[in-house]
Amino acid sequence: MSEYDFYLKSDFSRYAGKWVAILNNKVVSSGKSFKEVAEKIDKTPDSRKALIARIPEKMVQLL
Amino acid sequence: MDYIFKFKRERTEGGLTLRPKIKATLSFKEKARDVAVILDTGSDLNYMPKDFADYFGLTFSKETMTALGAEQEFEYKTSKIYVKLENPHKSFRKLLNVMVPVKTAIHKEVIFGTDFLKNFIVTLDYTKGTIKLSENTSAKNRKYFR
Repeated sequence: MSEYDFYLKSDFSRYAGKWVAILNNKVVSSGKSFKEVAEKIDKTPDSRKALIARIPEKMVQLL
Repeated sequence: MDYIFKFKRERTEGGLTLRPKIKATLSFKEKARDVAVILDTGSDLNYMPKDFADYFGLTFSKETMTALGAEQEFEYKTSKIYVKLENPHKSFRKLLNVMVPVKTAIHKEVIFGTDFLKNFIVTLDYTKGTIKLSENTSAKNRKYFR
């Protein structure tokens, strides 16, 4: 399963309000900002294919 | 050429909702990251929080402009970043204009608006849960953006 497919199918509500990095069907890093998470996984081997996503709070969104 | 994605089902206080989130590779110089990006046909430009721009080392416009987001004005600068979409047979790559807020982040996610979507025929099928971006190569179809 690709990182994107895993992201679509999984419930990440425990990370609400945070950014997560998904790699090999698991969350390998989380944090309050994209930069924090991206810099953490920069040091991880094979991190190039990681998918980084923000997990929104439960509030309804109006863009 | 089509790029197929699916809606992300997310929980809200009002129940489950479907959000159009695609996988895009953002890159600049030696840095590249796959990111879940939300599509928004109501946004004129593409948007990225400032810490994204800082991570990729983007340079900003000299001018500061004002935009209206969710009924709240905010100041922004513009920058450019490469975006890539992939399917098994082809990839779409383009240098994309993005707006980056100067102070307060009015949105926390990366948003691709009309400035990105105008490159495609966009099909949002809420019944099947699919998002299809068909590359729009016909010059005839670009007349609205001249």
